[in-house]
Amino acid sequence: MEAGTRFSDAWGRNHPLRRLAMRDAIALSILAAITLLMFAVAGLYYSAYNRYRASLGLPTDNTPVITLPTMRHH
Amino acid sequence: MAQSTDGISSGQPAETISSKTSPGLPAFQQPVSRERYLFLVLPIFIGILSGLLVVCFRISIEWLRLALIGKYMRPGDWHLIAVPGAVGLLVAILVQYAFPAARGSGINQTKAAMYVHNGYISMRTMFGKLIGTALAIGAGFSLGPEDPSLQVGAAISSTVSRQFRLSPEKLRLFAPVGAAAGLAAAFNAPITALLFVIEEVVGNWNASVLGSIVLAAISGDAVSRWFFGDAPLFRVPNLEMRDPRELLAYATLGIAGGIAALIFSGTMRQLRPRLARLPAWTHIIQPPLAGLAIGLIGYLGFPQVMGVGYESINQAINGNFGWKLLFILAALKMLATTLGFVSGTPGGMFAPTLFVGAMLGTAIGNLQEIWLPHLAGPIGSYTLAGMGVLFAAFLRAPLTSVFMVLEVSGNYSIVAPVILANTIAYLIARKFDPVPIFEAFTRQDGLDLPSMEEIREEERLHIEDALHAPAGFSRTQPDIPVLPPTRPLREALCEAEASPDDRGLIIVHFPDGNGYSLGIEELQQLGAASSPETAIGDLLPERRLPLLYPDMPLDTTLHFFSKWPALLIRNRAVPTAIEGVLTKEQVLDRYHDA
Repeated sequence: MEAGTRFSDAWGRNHPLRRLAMRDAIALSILAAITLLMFAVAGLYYSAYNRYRASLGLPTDNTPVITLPTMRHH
Repeated sequence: MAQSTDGISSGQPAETISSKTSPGLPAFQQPVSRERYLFLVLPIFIGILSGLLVVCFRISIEWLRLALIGKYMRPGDWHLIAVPGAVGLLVAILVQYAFPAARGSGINQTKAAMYVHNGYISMRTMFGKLIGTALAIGAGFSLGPEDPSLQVGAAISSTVSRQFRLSPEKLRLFAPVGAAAGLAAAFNAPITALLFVIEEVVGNWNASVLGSIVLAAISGDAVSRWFFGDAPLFRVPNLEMRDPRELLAYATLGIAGGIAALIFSGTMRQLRPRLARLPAWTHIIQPPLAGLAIGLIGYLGFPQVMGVGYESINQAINGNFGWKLLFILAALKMLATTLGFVSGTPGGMFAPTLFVGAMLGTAIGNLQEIWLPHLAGPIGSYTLAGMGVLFAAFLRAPLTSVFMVLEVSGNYSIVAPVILANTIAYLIARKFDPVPIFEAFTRQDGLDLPSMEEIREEERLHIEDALHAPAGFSRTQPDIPVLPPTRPLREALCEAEASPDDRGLIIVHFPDGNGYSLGIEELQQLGAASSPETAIGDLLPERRLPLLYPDMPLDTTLHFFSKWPALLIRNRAVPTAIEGVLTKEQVLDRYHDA
């Protein structure tokens, strides 16, 4: 096998790069799990923030977050 | 023999490659296809994770703002002074003792990571940047969240890619991938993020990483839109350019923007090293003092300059401010941002730059409306053009500045004036201050990173420059014989002996356009056991000269000279035609004369 060989072939039972392919698969699975977890955390954070906004009487629609609160120049 | 992208010859047996992936040995000698799929898959994860972190970051800033200052910012409210002062002290302690690498905007650090630290940015730095910037902006420091988001993305990218034991070269390339994702998520503008990272961080359009940057930027932006919606950053009413003569006002805006950028960057580059040289204990009091000064500006009647300032930009777009107030706000924002940034408080320069430009642009639009009302278009056009002008002149990203204006406004009707104003501002800033602000900061920090402006302007030599060198510049091209493959060995030897090159060079040119170059020694060895009437084409090995054309960069030829004594330059339109023959001496002479 040469370095340019298809990496997907490494799933073969006796392939010399099988270990590396399995490591990658495990790492990608962990990454996917962390991503899902982060989605959940961000979602909870966002909804908590929206509840806070609502308690202040601010709109909870998709108004861009980085805006100053209502501002008046006197 | 194929060549892997990390420079490893592909001719090694499988066992050799496998053994090098075992623990304790270099792990990056792996199939090219693995790196290719990682460059396709990882950017999506990096983009999503960066987007999620930036979403939390943006929420934190707003939450802190509401919690610390409240819903309204009224001049005369003591909170406006106390909060930035107190939070400034907290941020200073955090930066001094817990997260020393979290200072600054994040762009320089990302570039340094890419060019100096093999793409490495620690998670500690990332969390320091997130916490410090959220606290500072939430408390009213006049800084932006975009540049820190860029560094957060690069840190995610660095952490994720390191788990896959890639080569140092590949790890370096992952830093801009995450940077684009972070910036896209912060700005809701993937094209701007992509262009900025290419223009300012990477410095060239390297196709190998471009696809990954696009994937990451889109993923990061998609996450941001998932939470915050599709609305552009600024709500812009319908814009138009009514009269071509209006372009003069935009040209004036370009000049004003160029001058403002020079003042803004000049003040920062003068103050920053002076404050950094002060005794260490003063680094603890600099951010709170800066916070107090910024708070005082708000307390005395100009709270618009506090925080990110996008709401004020929206107000300016809709014509809510008079021209005097706009000029004052632009000047005070420059002052407040300079104070915050040079004190070492973490935070970015994007948002303040847009703010200053927006105020300046709107002010000039207002004046146009007063003096030449029949020529003045909608005021929002000037606000948008002003943002682009400062972006081009201060951040020195002329291409990004145009697309940024279009993307953050979702409006394409004022492209021509934006391009005109941005170009004028950029040229003025570059003329009077050749070193861009972030490059100046890098040098102040003792690093010598590649200058993106220099890279952009670098004149690259091409093959045609060596092939058709002007008389008196380098040696004239030797008349190396080009022979058909049917020529008998005997005649080929005569031609080689008569060749003007000392090595007796000849080129064998095949009917399909391919070629083979060799010296008289090699020719004699090949023909040692053959009849003098044998066609030379039959004696030559199967390998052929590389495909080279006159428009290709000259440096690409250099490594071929280790295998070939001369190179055949071909014609793109007629593959069988020859443009010329290139020798190493010609190439080196051309570089010597350049």
